Amino acid sequence: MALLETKDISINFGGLWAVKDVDFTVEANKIVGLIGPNGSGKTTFLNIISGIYGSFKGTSGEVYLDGEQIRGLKPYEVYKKGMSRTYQSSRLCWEQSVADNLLVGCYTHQDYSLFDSIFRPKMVNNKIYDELDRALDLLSTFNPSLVDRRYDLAKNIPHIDRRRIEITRALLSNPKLLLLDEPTAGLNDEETMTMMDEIRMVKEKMKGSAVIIIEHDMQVMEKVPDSIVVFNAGEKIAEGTYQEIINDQDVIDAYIGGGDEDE
Amino acid sequence: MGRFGNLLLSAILCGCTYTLVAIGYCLFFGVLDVVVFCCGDIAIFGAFSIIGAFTIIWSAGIFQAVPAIVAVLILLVVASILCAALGLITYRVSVKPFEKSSALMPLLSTIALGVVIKEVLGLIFQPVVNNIAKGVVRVDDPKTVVGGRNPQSMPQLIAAGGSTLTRNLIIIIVVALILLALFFFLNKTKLGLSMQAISQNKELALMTGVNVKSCIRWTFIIGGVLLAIGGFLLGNYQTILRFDGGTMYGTKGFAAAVVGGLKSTWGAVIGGMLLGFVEVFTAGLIPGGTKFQNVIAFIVVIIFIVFKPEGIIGEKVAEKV
Repeated sequence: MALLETKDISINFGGLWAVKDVDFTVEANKIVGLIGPNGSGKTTFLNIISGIYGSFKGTSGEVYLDGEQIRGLKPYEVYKKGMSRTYQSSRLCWEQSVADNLLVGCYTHQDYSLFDSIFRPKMVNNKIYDELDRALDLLSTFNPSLVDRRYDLAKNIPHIDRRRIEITRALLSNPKLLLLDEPTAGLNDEETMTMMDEIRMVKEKMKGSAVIIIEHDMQVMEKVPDSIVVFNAGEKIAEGTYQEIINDQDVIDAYIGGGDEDE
Repeated sequence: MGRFGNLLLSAILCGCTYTLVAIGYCLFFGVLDVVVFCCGDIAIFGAFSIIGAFTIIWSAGIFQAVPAIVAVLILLVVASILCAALGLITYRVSVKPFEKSSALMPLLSTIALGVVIKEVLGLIFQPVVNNIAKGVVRVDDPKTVVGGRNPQSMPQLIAAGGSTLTRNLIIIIVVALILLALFFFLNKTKLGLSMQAISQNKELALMTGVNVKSCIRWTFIIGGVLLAIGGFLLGNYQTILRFDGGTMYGTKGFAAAVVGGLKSTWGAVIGGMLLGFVEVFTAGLIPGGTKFQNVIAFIVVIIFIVFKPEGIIGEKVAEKV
């Protein structure tokens, strides 16, 4: 059974189809790349499956995560079902420390009462410290020096490390499916290469899980995903390996725009 | 207590009343990035609902049989429930329908709702309260509020028969306790932390498992309760209450919030106190100052907006305004 399966997913904004009749499947232990020209519906598609559009009336179709229908659920419900994501631009609390930014992802799945909040028994504090240790341990696999900077404000952290913090935070909920929306945006070539290695490492860590990654950088698409899906004007126009995709005439026409296969 | 001491106490009291309404603005702006402009009217609604509840419960003879502190708590609970409900109504009617619209829409809509609140208050209380002249209720005059045997006004009640000084100190202590509770709530409880997460980055909150809609509803409930207490204290600090007093009270609360930093709770405290001090000391130290205390207060606000638009301890929000 596929980990994620969508059937005829569509969304219509006032007559404009941002995504139309998309069937999409992701198997466990796979990384699927999602590419397409600007405005082709990639991020909108992620927003639908992650619940951002919730019960928006213009949405139709079905989304199954691990066999369970999740379309129409709210983002926090989708999160609890096992889907985490990052965004195109950094979503950090700039005035908070690295540790606080990581713990945002922990508070919501901690189960403590108002009594615990007031009196903070040792057990509750220990839980928080345990979560922080786990978060820092995970973060150190990306960049060990970040652990020493855990009390630095997020605004003072380099861009690539901000990405690492966001991915770590997303991983803290042990997701079945991780959605990465342009994780290398704003990174230079060297940082992009590093990030690619780290995404592959993330996949190894998430046994039984899967990753969907949106990218414009074809270097990343060549080396990271197991398969690639191409969107154009809200529709899925191709699916296959990197080699299949770059030789697909529809993709060349729609995305590469004239056959520049190296772009 | 000397003249300066009296002025100082009055300034703190005045600042306390502005602080609570400013915190209301901060909480609402924090989770929604919109200005809910009827905060002052909700607080005045709280004050009048206390007068109404006081009148009804006194007539039933309940207050005469219980200690003053119990009576005050009953009034606060009633006003808090009503204002929390009004807060939720404000969200459902004047804010939620405009979530996808420009920030101007909820601003205009909440201004309109404020007008509705004050007109409804006028309609309800005109026939109930005696001796109302031009929409003014003298809260410190027992006869205008309750009548009957052994009448007792709200200020007398809150001080449990004590002096004005006792009453004022109680107001300051109540505000201090509220601020402590609020600080604890925002920094230690899951709901408070979730509200802070939404305030700092809504998308982040969405994708870290925060139930954003529920948090927003709770913010309006908690904001409503704070405004009810603000109205209660305003009713006790001032000797008169006006149905349309919410407009000026709300404007000052908003100004205090902006001066302090629109997303900062502590900024609201500083802004509220600053405004209270400027107002009271202008009135107290400048001959005839009561006539232009508001002018001076708002000139100070303008100066702050020009030179420190992000507020005293707030973050930059100029692009959102």
